[in-house]
Parts: sequence; structure tokens; C-alpha cells
Amino acid sequence: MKTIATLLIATTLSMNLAFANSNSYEKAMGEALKEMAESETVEDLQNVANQFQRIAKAAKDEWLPLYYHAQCNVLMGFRTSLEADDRDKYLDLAQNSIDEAIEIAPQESEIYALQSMLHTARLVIDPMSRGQKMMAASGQAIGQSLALNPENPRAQYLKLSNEVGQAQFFGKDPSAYCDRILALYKEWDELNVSETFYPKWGKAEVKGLMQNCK
Amino acid sequence: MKSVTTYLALLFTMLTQLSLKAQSISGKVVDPNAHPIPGCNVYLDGTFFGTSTKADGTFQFKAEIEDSAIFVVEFLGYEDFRKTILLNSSLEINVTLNEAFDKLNAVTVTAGSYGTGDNDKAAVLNSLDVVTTAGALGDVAAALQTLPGTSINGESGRLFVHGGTADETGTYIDGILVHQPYTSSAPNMAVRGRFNPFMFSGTAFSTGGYSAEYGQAMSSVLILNTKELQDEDALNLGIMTIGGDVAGTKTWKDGAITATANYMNLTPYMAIIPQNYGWKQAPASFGGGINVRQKTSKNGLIKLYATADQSTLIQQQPLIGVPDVLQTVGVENKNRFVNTNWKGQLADAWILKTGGSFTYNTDQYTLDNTQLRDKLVGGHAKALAIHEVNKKFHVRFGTEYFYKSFEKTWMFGDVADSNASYADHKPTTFAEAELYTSNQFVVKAGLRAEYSSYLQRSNVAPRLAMAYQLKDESQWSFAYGMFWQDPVNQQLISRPYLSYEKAQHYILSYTKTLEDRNFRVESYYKVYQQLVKYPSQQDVYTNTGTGYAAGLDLFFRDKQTIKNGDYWISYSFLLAERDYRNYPEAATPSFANTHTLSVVYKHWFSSLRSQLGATFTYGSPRTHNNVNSPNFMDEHLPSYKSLDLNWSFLHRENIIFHAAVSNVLGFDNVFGYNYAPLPNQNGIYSRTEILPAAKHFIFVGCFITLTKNGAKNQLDKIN
Repeated sequence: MKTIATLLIATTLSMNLAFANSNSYEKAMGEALKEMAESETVEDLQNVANQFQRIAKAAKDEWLPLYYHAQCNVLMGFRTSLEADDRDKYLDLAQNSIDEAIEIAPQESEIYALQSMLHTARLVIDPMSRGQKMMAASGQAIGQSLALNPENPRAQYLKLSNEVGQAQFFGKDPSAYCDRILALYKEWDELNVSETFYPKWGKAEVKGLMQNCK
Repeated sequence: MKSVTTYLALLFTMLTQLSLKAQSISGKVVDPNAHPIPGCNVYLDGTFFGTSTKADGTFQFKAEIEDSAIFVVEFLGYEDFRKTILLNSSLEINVTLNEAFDKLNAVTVTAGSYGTGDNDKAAVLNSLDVVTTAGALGDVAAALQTLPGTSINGESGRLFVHGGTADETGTYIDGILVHQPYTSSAPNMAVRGRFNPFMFSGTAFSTGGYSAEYGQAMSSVLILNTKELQDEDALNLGIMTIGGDVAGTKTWKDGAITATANYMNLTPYMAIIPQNYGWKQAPASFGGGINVRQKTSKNGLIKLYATADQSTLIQQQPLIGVPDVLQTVGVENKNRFVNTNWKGQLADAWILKTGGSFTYNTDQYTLDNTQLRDKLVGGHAKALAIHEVNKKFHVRFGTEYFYKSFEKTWMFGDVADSNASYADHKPTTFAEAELYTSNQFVVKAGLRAEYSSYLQRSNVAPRLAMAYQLKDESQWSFAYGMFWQDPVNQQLISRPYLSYEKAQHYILSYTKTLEDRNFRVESYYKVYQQLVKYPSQQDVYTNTGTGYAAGLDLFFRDKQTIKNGDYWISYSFLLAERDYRNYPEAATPSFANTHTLSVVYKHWFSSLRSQLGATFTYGSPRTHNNVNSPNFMDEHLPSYKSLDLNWSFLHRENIIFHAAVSNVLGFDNVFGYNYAPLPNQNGIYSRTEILPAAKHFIFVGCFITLTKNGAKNQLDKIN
């Protein structure tokens, strides 16, 4: 009888703990994503990046905390208020997380879309000397992302964004891309995976691209 | 029933206990100077409990601790802080983080070293600069001549560094020796580097004091690192006023092959642009190459590069003192070159690099009916191991084997008249240790030993370098080294009794970086010993020549002050004297300019999608020996001046137009004089000026890249 009781206690406790742990993951991710949505300053982003890093270290099998950790650092890498050296350091951190995320989920299209953004962030820091190399790398990562999931709305957006940027640089009319931008905007909600914590960002950015279309 | 009660009671107690263990942890994080560090990640290892430090470095969070936990503080650029905390211990924790050692951001030895690369922090020029510097025309050596420490010798085109001859500069590709780095040309006509600058991801140009890994170069080494894997299939086309080239790349998973072909012919160009010399055959060349890359493992990569090139030119020069008689001077070059290397990770902290090169080069010179043929066969094999003992202490050691044979054949018509040759095998070994005491201080010490089978002698060369970084982004570095080199081929033939020539360098350098401004001043002293000397009898050479060079180099680059503009200024002051070869006394050699100035400016006009480049170069008068003067080397040539312009226009993302004009202001530059072998009836040796091939060089080209992604569309757009 005693044995059974002990067993019961043990199982309940461990279940309890396991539940508490997974529950904490859900809770921590929920909180971190909420803060990410509200973050404005570099300090905010740094704090959210720290949160995701903590989650990634506690939940070692999950690629999403790594993904968001990388995304926070990529966003900091785009901040022109920071010095170029520091921006590159944030991007180094982002690259580490992307590499780890790919090891966990090698078939995940979203990670490659973020990789493309990272290459673009590198380009923006020193377009004169990095332009050629990083433009190619960014395009290649989008290709990998779309090969894994041709419908990935963020990869589609990044592809369009690169194309519009190039058209503007070469003095061509960017409104040629408007049909595709509008179509993407209309389909956006359908294209997004409903899974919890899965990347959903990008709709506002697509709307931003539509400014050239009127 | 009892058991169920026990169970419930136990469960209740445990849950209570769990919730009881929620504790508050707080404290402050500072750096060693007691400044708060905001944004640190503070957490308990393996849990979701944690927070970030605020602007004043403080933190506070709640956590449930069972018995003990590991408390961690992390921040970029600092060493992690870890501490086991117990349930009942004080949970007010104040932390001082120490700066982390980071090799990438640590001090590097800059004495004598000009890194050019995209990822190198010490880089003064990036790889694109080589292509966009006006006056360089895509020639690596010419672009490097805008850096301090180099002398301007327009009739040569090769690199003369810190009062040394061009033969004292060694060229390496991926650590492997290139026996014949330049194209061949008629005497007194400038050569170019053989290699396309787009092949390389980075360059390390050393003006002295370099690592024990490199030898057989008394002045300087130029280390070219080729690109790693190509990203995508591509076809590159170049259409130029002087010829064309094509390169195709095919990629596969973890590998790529590139094939290239080029054809240049200056006949049409020279028919339009006036030339200083007559040509029977304008310079023409064709060649091809392949370049293979294959990843062998995660960190392993094998590279193979092979080329075959051929060039001809035949000049017609008036005989000195007899303007009506034309003399035919020609050169025909054949060059085969293979370079291969493999880099891989042996174990955790061990990297192995191996490689080899093979060169077969013939130059056939024609002077009217007489012909002279030089044949060079060279080989180099090398294995280098790099071991990271710990983060701050690294050792590298390796072994090399050099082979060189050189043969000279005099011919009359098609008949070989006589010939002379030599061959040398040179086993070599080297080792070097690098120790960082902190991010601020590094010291490197190395030793190199060589043995020459032809000279039947060995040599040992110590090297030493150190650097100290100050707080304000400035640093001092110092380098010392002993450098041995075989006498040049022409001297070595039939003279196995000669010994190595020797140089010692002392270099002190100061650099300061302020955001996108870079300033450097470097002073050096260099002693030459055992230089080959030809005393009165021509045939008995000795190693009794001596010399020295001392100078000051200044470099300033600023990418910041002018929006979309970028400029650098290089100034070199050089004092050099030698008593060597046929010199009757010590004198300043004719290849050493006392003052050299280069000003390079580039401006990007975004609305025009164009970059304009301008380079002004000044070389103070060089010495010259007038054979009609009783004194040796007491005359000076006119100073050298040139203003070069270039313009690049990005027509589409894959089409670039490039135009360049040298010496736009039309300065009259004279590179020296040729004297008649016999005096005229007045007892004077008449002379003619050595001039550039033409006053200006004009270049127009169009470069197209076609990739799979949009190849079809872009092909349509070309017309």
C-alpha cells in the first residue's frame, strides 16, 4: 500500500512539475511575445531578446525562442542610432541563434526568411562594400525559404521588398509589383499558420510596401 | 483510506513547500570600473526565472528555488558570471562582470601590415577598393601602390617596398608561393599582376616584419586569399576596348566550378591612341583557367586553381644615337600555373592547412636576330598546423618544400647557341607562438629555418612582433625580423658559391581609429647585409654588398567627413643607400623615391548610380647614373606626377560600365635613360629617354553578370 502511495505521489508530482514546466514555457513565450509587440527602444528589444534567450536555454528542443531571439537582434541590427560595430555584434548573436534553430528544425521555412533579413541588415550597415555579396546571400536565403514553403507570406514579402528596393535604385517604376503586393496583402490572414507562437509578423510591412501603389 | 489521506496531505505539503520557495532575488551588475551595465540577462540556469538589468544596473525577480540553483549573468562582450545559490543564502547579489577576451576584437599587430578584406577589422582597403581605385585598372599591385611604404617605378609596375627591389616582394595565394606573379613585358614596360582581383576575398600586404610562415622575401609579402564557395550559377562577360573575357560558374551542393577564358589585343586600340613606341605586334594575350571548390566536411574545403596563359609583343625601337635604324625587341611568354590547397579541422582546437603550387614559365626575348629564352619551373608544397592551446595562446607550425629550376638559353635564329642553368631544393620549417595577455596586449614570436641544396647552406630567421592597445582606440605595435633570400636567378646561374642575402627590419607603428577615420604613422629601419656584389672582374661575384633603408610612412583614410565620399592620403619618406651589384660606392638606388604621395578620392553619386574616382600620385625625383658624368648616381630624373580618373556606372544590377583615363593632365614622365653602348665621335654616350608606352591610357569596358534567376529577362534587356 505504501509503495502504491509513494508511486502515486511521485507520478503526480512529476506530472505536476512537467505540467508546470510546459505551462511556464507557454506563459513565458506569451509574455515575451506580448512585450516584443510593445517594444520600441533598443533597451526594450534587448530585454525581450534576453527573455527569449532564457526561454531557449530552458526549453532546449524549441526553435521558436531561438527564432525570436534572432529576430530581436536583427531588429537591433537595423537600428541606425547604434554604431556599425555594435550592430554587427547583434547580428552575430542573431546568426548564432539562427544556426541553432536550423539544427533543431532544418525544414522550417520561417528561419530562412529571417536569415534573409539578417543578410539585408548586414548590407545596410555598409552598402558600398557589402552590397553585392549580401544582396546575393539575402536572395538565396529567400529562395531556400520559399523552396520549403512556397506560400510563406514573410518570404514572399521579403522577396517583393527586395525587388521593389532594387527597382527604385535602378530608377524603374516600382508600381509594376503592385498587383503582387495587393494579392499578398489580401491573402495574408489565410496564408498564416494558426499555430500558437508561430511567426505572424509582416502584415504592417506589406501595407508599407503598398504606399507606392495608388 | 489512510494511504489516500497521507497522499493528499503529502501533496498539500509539497505544493505548499513549492509555493513557499518563491523568493525575491535582487542586486546590481557593474563593470570593473563600477559603471552599471544595463541590459544584462540575469536568470537561474535551466529555468524560466529571470530578468534584465535596468539602466542603473539593478535587477530584481522572483523565483522558486528547490534547494539550490545556478545564478547566471550574461552580457555581450563580458565573461559570464555563474554562482550556485542556496535556498537560505542571501539573495541580494552584486556582480562585477569582467571584459571577455575576444580574439576578433582584440588587439592585432599592425606594424608593417596592411590588411585588405571585408571581414578584417585592421583592413585599410577592402577588396572592392582594389577594383575602384583610379589608376589601378583592377591590378592588385597597382592599387597597393597607393599605400605608404611603396615607391613609384612606372617602368616596372611591380611592388617596391621600403627601399627594396621588386624581387624582394613575395606573392602568395592562400599561403602558397606564386613563382611568377606578374605578366611578362618588354624591358622598361610596366607589367601587371596575373590575377583577377575578383578572385580574392582579402589581401594582407606586409611592408615588413611579417610572420615566420613566410620567407624568401627580404622586403615584403603580398598574401592573397581566394574566395570560398560561390553562391550561384553565373555567367560573367567582360567586353573591353582591349579585349574580352568570360567566366562561367556552375554550383552544386557544397561545391562549385568556374571556367574562365580571356583574349586581349591592343592592335585596334593602339591604332587610335598615339603611342610613344612603334609596334610590330601590339601586346596580345589569351588564356584560360579553371577554379574548383569542394567542401569536404563542415569545416573542410578543398580549392584548386589552374591557368594557362600566353602573350606576345614586338616593339620597334630606334637604335640609340642612330634614329634611322629600327631595332626589334620582342617577348613571348607562356605560363602554366596550378595552385591547390585544403583546409580542415583535425580535432577540436586543431586546424590543418596543406597546399601546393606548380609553375612552368618561359619567356622568349628577341633582339633582332638574337634570341634568349628563360625557362622557370617552380614548385611549392606546404603543411601548416594551427593549435589553439587556449583562447589566449595559439601556436602554428609547419613544414615546406620549395623547388626551383631556371635555365637560360641563347639562340641565334633557331639554333641554340649556349645555355646555363641551376636547380635548387629547399626544405623549410617554421613555428610561431602567439600569446594574448588581455584584449589589450599580444606578443608573437617565431622562428624559421631553411636549407638550400644549391647553395648548400642553411639559415635561421627569428621574428618578433607585439602590440599594445590604449583605451582611446589607438595602439602601438612593434615588429622585428630577420629575412633571408636567395640571390636572383640571373646571379645564381653557375655560381653555387654565393650565399643568401639578408635583411633585418625594425618597425614601430602607431594607429588610431575614430569611427570611420583611420590614421597610421610608422617608422622603420632596415639593414641589408650579404648583398651580391660584382667587384671589378665581372665573373667573380661576392656577398659583400651592404645597404640600409629608413623612413616614415603616414596614412590617413576618412570615409566619414564627406557624405558618399571616401578618401585616403599616403605619404612616404624614404632614405636608402646601397653598395651592391656594380656600384663603385654606396649610393641611393634609382628605384627609391625620397618622397612619395598618393591621394585617392572616390565619390558615389546615388542619383546617377555612378562612382567617380580620382588618384593623384607624386614621386620625387629618382637618382640616375649618367655615364657621361664622372660621378656615380649624381643625376636625378624629373619627378613623377599623374592624375588618374575613373568612372563606374551601374546600369542595372548586373551590368556595370567602367571607364578610366590615366594621366589626364598630360604630365611628361620619364622613367630613365638608355645609353648607347659606344661613345659617339665627340666621346659622348648618346642616350634616349625611357618613356611610358603612351602619355595616356584610356579604358572602356562593360561587365555583365547573368544568373539563373533572371538570366532570360536580362539577356533580353541587353539589346
